[in-house]
Amino acid sequence: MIRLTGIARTFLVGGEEVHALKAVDLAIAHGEYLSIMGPSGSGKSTLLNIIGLLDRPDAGSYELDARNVTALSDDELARVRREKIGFVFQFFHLVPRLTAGQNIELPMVLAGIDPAERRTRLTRLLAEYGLEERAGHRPDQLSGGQCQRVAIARAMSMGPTVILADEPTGNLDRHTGQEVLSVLERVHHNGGTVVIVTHDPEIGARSHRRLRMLDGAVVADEKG
Amino acid sequence: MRYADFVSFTYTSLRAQRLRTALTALGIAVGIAAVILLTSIGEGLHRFIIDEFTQFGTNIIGVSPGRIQTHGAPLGAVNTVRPLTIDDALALRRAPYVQAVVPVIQGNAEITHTGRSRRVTLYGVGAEFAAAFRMRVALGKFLPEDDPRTPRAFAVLGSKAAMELFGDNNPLGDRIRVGGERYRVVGVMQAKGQVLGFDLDDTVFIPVGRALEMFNRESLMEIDVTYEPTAPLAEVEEGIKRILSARHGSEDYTVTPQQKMLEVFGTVLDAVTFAVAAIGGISLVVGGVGILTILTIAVAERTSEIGLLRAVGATRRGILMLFLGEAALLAALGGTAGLLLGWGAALALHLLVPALPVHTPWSYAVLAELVALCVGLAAGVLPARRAAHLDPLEALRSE
Ligand SMILES: Nc1ncnc2c1ncn2[C@@H]1O[C@H](COP(=O)(O)OP(=O)(O)O)[C@@H](O)[C@H]1O
Ligand SMILES: [Mg+2]
Repeated sequence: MIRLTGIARTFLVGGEEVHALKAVDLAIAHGEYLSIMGPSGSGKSTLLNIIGLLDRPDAGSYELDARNVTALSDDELARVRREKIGFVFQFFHLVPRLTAGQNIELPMVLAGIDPAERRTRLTRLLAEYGLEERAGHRPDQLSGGQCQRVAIARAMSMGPTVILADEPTGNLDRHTGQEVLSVLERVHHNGGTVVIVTHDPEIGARSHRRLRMLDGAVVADEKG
Repeated sequence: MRYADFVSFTYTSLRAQRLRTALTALGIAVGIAAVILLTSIGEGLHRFIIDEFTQFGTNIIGVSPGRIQTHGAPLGAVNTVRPLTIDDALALRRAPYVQAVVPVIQGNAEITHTGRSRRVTLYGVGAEFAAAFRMRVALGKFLPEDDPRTPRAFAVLGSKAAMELFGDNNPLGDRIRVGGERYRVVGVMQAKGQVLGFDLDDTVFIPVGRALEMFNRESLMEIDVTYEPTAPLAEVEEGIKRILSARHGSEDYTVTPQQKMLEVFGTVLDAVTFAVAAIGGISLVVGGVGILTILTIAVAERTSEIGLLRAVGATRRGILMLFLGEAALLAALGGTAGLLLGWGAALALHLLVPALPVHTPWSYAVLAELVALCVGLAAGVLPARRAAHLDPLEALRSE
């Protein structure tokens, strides 16, 4: 489903090249629950951003759902992100002036899905993520955990191929982090593909496939 | 993105910053209000002047002696200019489509009655004068259709002249002196008021033949010809020129149709209204700068939101449109407020100073709204492009 071959990404920082990714090969199958761990600066976010089509590799090729997406135009990338990728960020990234419900709806609104269909999906998502009572609240009226649940519901609203979460619990206390994690695990149980970047070894241990990165390379890939 | 969602999204963004939105829209509102108020006054003035002229009717052609060239000096400076005579006026009655022919001479004269005297404007006119210029007689009749060469010594008083000489007494049948000669009053005109600064009531009307003698003049000042309203103006003009040129041997006179004069007036006054609108338009530009500033700030503040929108599938074009939409909506809000403001101010002005003619030209109002929208869009282009060209990843990281 996701196949990265020889993906490299180099940044120029003050005239010096930083090799954030060095020829990474990675295949992720449908329905996998995968965690990426590694020290800070090892390239985890860069890898996730390339998978999420927010960043382009300098070398290598990327196949998503049997389609080569390495050289798509900017507009095509936006469309693929909309259809196939669900992002969950450390800092939630909710639009502050929109209600929880409107935030969840946002990708569907951008995609031009008709309001009736949106309402059906929204009702289902609100129920699924326990947000019925919060639909009309704005982000500043929600707790961190609720914000992240809204973000996950938003990521799921277009029925994406994969959910990419970059340190989704990094900004939450331990207990809330656990709760958000279990929400992501439920996505996986319902058949979704989930990739989580995390620092927390405990979270890593709960995933079914564990990637370890160091200096822009995947140094371990354990299953089970 | 669906159109309704697009509007609602931009509207929500603007509403989230109420004060800022209101102040920015105010900039545009002031511009629009200025355009509407100024053009309302301009257009009011326009109508006022045209009304003043057309109250005497529009199907009038004036004929005056001497040839007026557009370049200035009369051609008759070398050639002799033959006077316009009463016979010329009589001859013009045969011109096609002509309804009335009114010879006119104007001057000042002293009128007296039982010791009271007054200097008034004297009009020596033909009998058809009152009918041709839609002037009403209040008492008695206007001058009768005498033989223009030997008219009886009858006079018609303007309402003010009558009041000054006779007070509340009925002047009909009484004798007055006009420039030393004895006249019998046969009529009093209805009050007409001031027309373009001329007092038409402090007047006396006597037969034109007698006025020529009194002033010892050969030539009329003017012959006014009215024609059937449906007649083709060019043919009417042509007919008049044919007759006069045959009598004079050359075109040593000037034919001025009221219609053409009105057209010239109209053009000049339209230019004034336009100039005034343009001045108001300058403040619209200032409003546009306000939109530019606020939107630039908004893009900076909402960088991470732009990143998020790009991450969940908005294209660059989509982002561009969202911010252009906000600019346009801001301008439209300001425009609507300005429309109400300008219109209200025009109405208030009309109520406070009834003498000041005010009329809101809706074509300008619509035009002003369109200009406001364009100003908004133009002001939005730069910040919207900046937003659209943000790198999604960097934008996301900007928090
Ligand atoms: N936009 C960027 N510009 C310059 N250097 C970058 C950029 N993004 C990442 N890097 C560098 O690439 C390396 C990998 O970064 P990142 O993928 O964010 O690591 P991680 O998420 O594992 O902490 C780091 O050295 C980082 O400084
Ligand atoms: Mg990172």
